[in-house]
Amino acid sequence: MIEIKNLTASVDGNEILKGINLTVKRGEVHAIMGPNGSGKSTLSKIIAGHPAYKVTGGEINFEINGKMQNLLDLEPSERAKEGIFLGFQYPIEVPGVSNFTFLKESFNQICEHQGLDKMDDESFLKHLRSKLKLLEMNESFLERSVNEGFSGGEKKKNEILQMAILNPRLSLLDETDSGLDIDALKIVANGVNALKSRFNATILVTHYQRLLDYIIPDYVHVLYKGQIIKSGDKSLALELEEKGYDWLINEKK
Amino acid sequence: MNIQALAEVAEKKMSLSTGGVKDFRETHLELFKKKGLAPFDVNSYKYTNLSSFFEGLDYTPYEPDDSQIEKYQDERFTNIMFVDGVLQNQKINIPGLNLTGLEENFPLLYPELKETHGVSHLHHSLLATGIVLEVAKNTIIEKPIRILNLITKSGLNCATVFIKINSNSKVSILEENTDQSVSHGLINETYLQVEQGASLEHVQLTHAGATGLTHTSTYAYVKKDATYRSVILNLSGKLNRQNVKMELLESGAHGESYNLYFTSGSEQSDLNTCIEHKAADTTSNQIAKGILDEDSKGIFTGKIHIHPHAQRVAAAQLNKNLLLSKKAQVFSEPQLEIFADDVKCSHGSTTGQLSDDEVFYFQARGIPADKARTLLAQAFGIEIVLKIQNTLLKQRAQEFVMQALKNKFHLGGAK
Repeated sequence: MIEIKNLTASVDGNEILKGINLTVKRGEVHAIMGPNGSGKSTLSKIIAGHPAYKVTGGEINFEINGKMQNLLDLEPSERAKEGIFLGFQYPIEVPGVSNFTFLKESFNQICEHQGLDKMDDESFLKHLRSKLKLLEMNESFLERSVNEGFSGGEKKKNEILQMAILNPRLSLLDETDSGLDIDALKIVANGVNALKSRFNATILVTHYQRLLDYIIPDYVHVLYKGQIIKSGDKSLALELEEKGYDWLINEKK
Repeated sequence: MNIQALAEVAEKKMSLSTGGVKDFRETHLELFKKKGLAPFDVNSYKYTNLSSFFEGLDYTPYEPDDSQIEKYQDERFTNIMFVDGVLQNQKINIPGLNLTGLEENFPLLYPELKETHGVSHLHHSLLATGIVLEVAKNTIIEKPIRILNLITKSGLNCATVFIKINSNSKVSILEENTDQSVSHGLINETYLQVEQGASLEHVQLTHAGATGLTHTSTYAYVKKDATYRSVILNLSGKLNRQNVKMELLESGAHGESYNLYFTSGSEQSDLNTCIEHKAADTTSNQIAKGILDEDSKGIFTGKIHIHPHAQRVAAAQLNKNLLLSKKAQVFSEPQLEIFADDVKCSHGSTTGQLSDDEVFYFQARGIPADKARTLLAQAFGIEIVLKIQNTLLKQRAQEFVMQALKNKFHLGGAK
């Protein structure tokens, strides 16, 4: 579904990614782990098209209408319409725009792109209710401004709510577990698991193994200084939890 | 200087008045000739040189054109219309609401104004017509009143409105200033008296053409337990200068000042407010927001003056500006003068741009950048409109604000 080949990227002139290779197929869950500053968040932002990051080399190809196409040619909003979803580590607060308006605008953009009719307020609300239930969210969330005054847990739930509504093919979840207590973590993980299917794929970016107890990855990759230094299955995450990143970093040296 | 030209306009219109009004006008004409456009306090016109804005206006007197006024009616309101400074309808038939002309009430109405700007003398010397609106006590006027100042031909005009809301009454009033894209100067003065327990919502909406100059001064006197809500929406015009002086005179008086200014091209909006807490237990809240594009300029000067003995006062002030271009400028001057010791006062001022991170958040959800910027600018501005409590007034304001947001700004990309 997505192929990243020898990707290099920089922000403000600093090279952050130094040759990433990664292939994700439909139905798979990949976890990307690594210490702070290794480039994990950068990778997910680049896939989603954040303008602050500059791709300096390599390619990202994404399957669109059954064909692999160059993702880097697309605007961020076009990437979202093609089914790429970035769950933010720090969701942005948008005072004055209600969650309902934001979700509806977003949903209708994607409907329009897929040649479907826009939904009216009433049917959209119906659609929303089932997803709210999945994340154990109260309907009053919809009237509040996007993320404004939300707790850390509420913000992350809101991200997964957006994901549930947009039904992406590739979800990039950037540190979705940070700032969550154990109950919220379970709810968020249940949400992600419920949305998994053999047609979509998930890339989890995380520091800790904790999230991977609830969302079981098929592959685990360790990113260090802008490169993937080791890949394995879920046991790699457990090993890391036990031995720490130093173990791998030293091994690499 | 073009003081002479301005004075000539007033002289030519002098024949429209008789008696006390004429005497009043002549007195101020002399003062204007002497003082010109000099402000009472130099700092208050620091960023707006009025004479340069009056330069190049066509002052030729003319006959008002009332042929097109029909289309400016809005049935949702009780309409009172000035066309080119001439009052169109003298009569309205609403129980509890009394409309009279200026002459019948003269000279009782003018409060003693110590701080007279040169532009006030000019206004007084032009004072040909005006209205006095009085709401009887214990009366709720449901249908909002709309006072429209429509300019159809270039020239210099003025309008004067006195409003008295007697005790325990409630009304919403819209003053709307617009033109048919002609070069002109409109100088308005509005005096408001809000008696005990009364509530006045007062919206001033200006959407002038690119060569329209609108200068308004509002003086509000708010008595015991009364509420005055001022909403100023400056959506377009070469220059919009608004002076607001709100005097909270007795305990329980509450003042609100909500302001929105949009500028683009070489437009300038200059908002100068002064909230005077003259008694204990008075409260006020102020928010001023601006969106500025291209080479335009915005000025916010907001003074909150808490007099000695005005204890237990709560006053909040906030100014926020959104710049859409690198060349747009904002001058923000919050001024707090506090002479009592048991008060709660806050103020803040921010000026910024739409952040890339905010826009990216929308993009990451499939919403294109231009649409994202529009939604964000809307969200920024609409807060002020939502402060309007009367539904019909809010509707009309919203229509204009959304229209201006859509047409006025370049939200497609960074400029």
